[in-house]
Amino acid sequence: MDDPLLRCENLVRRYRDRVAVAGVGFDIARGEVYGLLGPNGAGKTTTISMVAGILRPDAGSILVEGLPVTTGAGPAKQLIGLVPQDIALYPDLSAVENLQFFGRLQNLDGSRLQQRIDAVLEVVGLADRAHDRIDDYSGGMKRRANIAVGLLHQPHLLILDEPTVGVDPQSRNQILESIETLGGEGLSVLYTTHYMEEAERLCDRVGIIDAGKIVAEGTRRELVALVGAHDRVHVSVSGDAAALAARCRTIAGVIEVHQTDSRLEIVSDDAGRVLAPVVEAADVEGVAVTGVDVREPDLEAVFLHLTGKALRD
Amino acid sequence: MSRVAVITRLELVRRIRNRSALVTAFVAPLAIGVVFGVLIGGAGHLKFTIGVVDGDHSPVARSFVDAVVHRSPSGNDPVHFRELASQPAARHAVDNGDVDAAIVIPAGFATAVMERGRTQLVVLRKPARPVSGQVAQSVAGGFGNRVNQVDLALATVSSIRPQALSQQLVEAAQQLRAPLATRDVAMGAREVSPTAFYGASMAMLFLFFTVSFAPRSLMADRQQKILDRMLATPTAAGDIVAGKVLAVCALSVAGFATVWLVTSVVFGADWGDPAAVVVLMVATVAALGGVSTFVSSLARTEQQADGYTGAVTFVLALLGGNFIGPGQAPDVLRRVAMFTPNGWALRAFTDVSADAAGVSQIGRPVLVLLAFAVVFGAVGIMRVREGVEQ
Repeated sequence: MDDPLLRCENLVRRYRDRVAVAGVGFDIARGEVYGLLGPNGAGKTTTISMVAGILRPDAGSILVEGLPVTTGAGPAKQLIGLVPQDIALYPDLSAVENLQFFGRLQNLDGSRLQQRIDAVLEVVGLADRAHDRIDDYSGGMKRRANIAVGLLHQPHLLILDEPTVGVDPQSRNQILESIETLGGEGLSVLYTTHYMEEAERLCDRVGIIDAGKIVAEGTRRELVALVGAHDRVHVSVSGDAAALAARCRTIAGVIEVHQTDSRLEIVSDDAGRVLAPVVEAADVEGVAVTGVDVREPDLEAVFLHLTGKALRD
Repeated sequence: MSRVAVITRLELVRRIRNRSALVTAFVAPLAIGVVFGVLIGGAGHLKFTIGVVDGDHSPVARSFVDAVVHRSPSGNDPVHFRELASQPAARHAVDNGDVDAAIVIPAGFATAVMERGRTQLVVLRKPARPVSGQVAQSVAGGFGNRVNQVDLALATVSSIRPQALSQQLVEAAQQLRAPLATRDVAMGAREVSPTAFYGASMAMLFLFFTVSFAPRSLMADRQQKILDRMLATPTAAGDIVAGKVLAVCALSVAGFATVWLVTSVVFGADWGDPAAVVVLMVATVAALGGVSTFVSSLARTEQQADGYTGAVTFVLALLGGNFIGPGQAPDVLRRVAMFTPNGWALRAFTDVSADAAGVSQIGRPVLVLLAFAVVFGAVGIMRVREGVEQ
């Protein structure tokens, strides 16, 4: 990738004899949402701790806009916003007080700090509860306040470490919508999750991490293609199902067709491309289509294929 | 505002809002110091009334009774004597608490001494009042020794004349003074104010807990991942540690100063030269801060740090003499106290209070306290910082 916003090369981190991250490398383009998808203990948090300048890598390098990220007080850290998995806020302080504190550590002060506090509280929908103590917030509100601190200094790269863990569905959706909006506004995002559907919804590209290594990387479709998985269209019909199956086998893009009584399973590289010709074929054969169900291979299947285990193992 | 100042300010705001921290830093040392000073501190001004019974009615016995009962005691003399009519009257007075103990010179005492027969003085005491009993025993022992010395001296003379012996004994009895052990326990030119002593002592005790807030706060921040978030900003680990340490030092000095001011203004305690007190206070905070930071740095969790700090605090307080009144510690404990920072600090505070020592006279203890601060503090901060940097 030419001129990436973030470049990580061959990151290694050991905890005594255990290797938590074993040569991880990836790039993130400007405005790209990149997902690190892997089960608990795969090395996601260790990787982002190194990217955020919290942990010193045993080997490898990290550059943000060409500036090296170190564990000291280097300038690269002003380009990075971190949203840890835990609610990393003082519970005995209000959201505003927490934002003031972390804003000052990010060199914000005076009216500029106040403007940014107002702006991020608006983004996360907490403006009306700004002066409440964090420990008076619901779980979802705490999560949103946690994100607000990460956005406060207008970072170029936002790192989100499993931001929806333990969140109710409504707050979860609100958080995901906020991230979609931020990605749409050109903010680069490094997003770790073990929720496959979140990675599929938010991420432009996904790196699948397991046992401290990135085992595959690409768009969802690239990853699916990588493991040779196909889309499956299930069609329920009334009429001569065998005749329809024979006609479907002649449609371009159809790999194979399985017929069981009045039900067809059509295997294809791209379900969207073959769906219309299948319906046309049914019309030609005088077969009534009573139901259609399209199943695309997901990242769960990819992960299972690549690692031999489920994401939530 | 520098990042160190930002962190210090936040720590102070949080500590001040946290009532338990205020109790530890201000209320508890003040309250316990005053209570100790007022109640136990009275031990520095013990007054005893000892009854004396002349059952012998000899010139020797009369001389002793007159010597102790009719002497001219100074205003702060802790021992007073009162003559009682008989041994049963003395027993009654001791039982009723009219006197703390009594000395009875039995009938035939002088005759027995002159004839070198066996005789002894009787001391009446109550088991519940061991100190007053000891005082009475000591006075009686002093009289007995005098008598024996005169007897021994005369025994070396070849011609023993009973009249001479009697006259010598009378003179010995007249020279009797209350023994040194019953003198007031003031250590210097002036008396140590018990409230000042226990105020400083208890302020030190709670100082261990207050100064341990810094490493414990870092541990809490680490557990809550707030430390990660701080380290993800352009803030060096050293700035974080310095900010927290400065906050607790400020809080500790403020707590110590509050105890000083309140005990001085409200209770009239005399701590001595204010400049010397301030210098000692800062040196003490630095020393105990160093030790406490080192102890806390050995812990992995906040709970462990609490346990370690509590144990070390009480051991050092016991060895350093924080629970024992001024000048009342046995010699061994006084020597052991010199291995503890609080022992040095207490001794210096006592010197400032009792001997009116100024800044120039407390150079040695201040240097020792600063040495404790540097050695333990440097190792402790290094360990804490390593933990922060991961």
